[in-house]
Amino acid sequence: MPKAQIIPAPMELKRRAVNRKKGFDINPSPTDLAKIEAAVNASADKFVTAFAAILRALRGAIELAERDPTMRDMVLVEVRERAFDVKGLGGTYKFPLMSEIGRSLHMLTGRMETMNDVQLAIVKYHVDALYVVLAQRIQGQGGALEQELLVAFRKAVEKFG
Amino acid sequence: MVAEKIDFSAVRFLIVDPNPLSTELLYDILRMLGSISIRRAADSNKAMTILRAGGIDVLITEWNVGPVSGLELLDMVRNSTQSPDRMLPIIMLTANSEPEFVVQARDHGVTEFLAKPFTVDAFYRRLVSVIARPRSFVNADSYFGPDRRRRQINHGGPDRRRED
Repeated sequence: MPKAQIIPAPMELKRRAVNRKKGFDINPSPTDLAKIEAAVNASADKFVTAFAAILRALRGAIELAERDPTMRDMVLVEVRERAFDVKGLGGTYKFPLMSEIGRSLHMLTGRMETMNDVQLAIVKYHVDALYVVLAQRIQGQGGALEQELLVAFRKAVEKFG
Repeated sequence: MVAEKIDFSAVRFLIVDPNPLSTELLYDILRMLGSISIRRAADSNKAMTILRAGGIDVLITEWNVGPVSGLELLDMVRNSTQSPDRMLPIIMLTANSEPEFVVQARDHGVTEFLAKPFTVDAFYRRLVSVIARPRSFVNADSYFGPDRRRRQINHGGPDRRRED
């Protein structure tokens, strides 16, 4: 039977950084967490500006893919990468609906090698939906309409992804 | 009794993420916590160069980086003979949030895994875990990394098995 060696936990970093005088509590108070949250809130405007630019670029790329089918592979790679970014960042900035749409778009494009007309149309609907969420600053999960939209996207991904 | 604290100015971080917005957000949070040594790398080659130069205490990496992925970077740190520190605390902070990614990262020796989008509370708890609650390492034929069994918590009652 193979044997495993247990190596004691390295303690040097803990010895250097953990103390009872200086720094943030190991169990932070709501006030401490609010201070950290302030760092996120401070960059929220940068997020909105950056994502508006990304969505504009995606719209341009989709128009290009509509006009010139030979560009679709390249556009697909771009859409997949940006969808991953939206999925990862939206919720942190209190746009969880944006993360959900990004997740759906990433799932849709993750399995594709190229895009036919229907798939391209579904990609476009996702980008349009992201635009609406950002333009209307829909924070939280949105309402019934937004949830219906997510269900519709899920079905489209299952069928065409 | 005075609570334990973490002096983040004593912890040197490396953030590896190709998305500048994500990197900047982590940088801002760590600065808010008091960290003064925060290196950034947009790709895994630069990350390895920084790691080999030494002076990094905690690595925070996205999975989706190039030219080698965050998972391969983790594997290199844990298993390469060129590794600067095989026991380096590593937080995988990634939008690859599905369960199969968590399992893969754990089996490659990640210290903590956090799915994006994340909350500051969850991120802070991962930092506390890697800095203040280091885990033993296991060196086996097919695995080198933190002990995947989580620590035993004292349940506060009598230890009946021991009495038996």
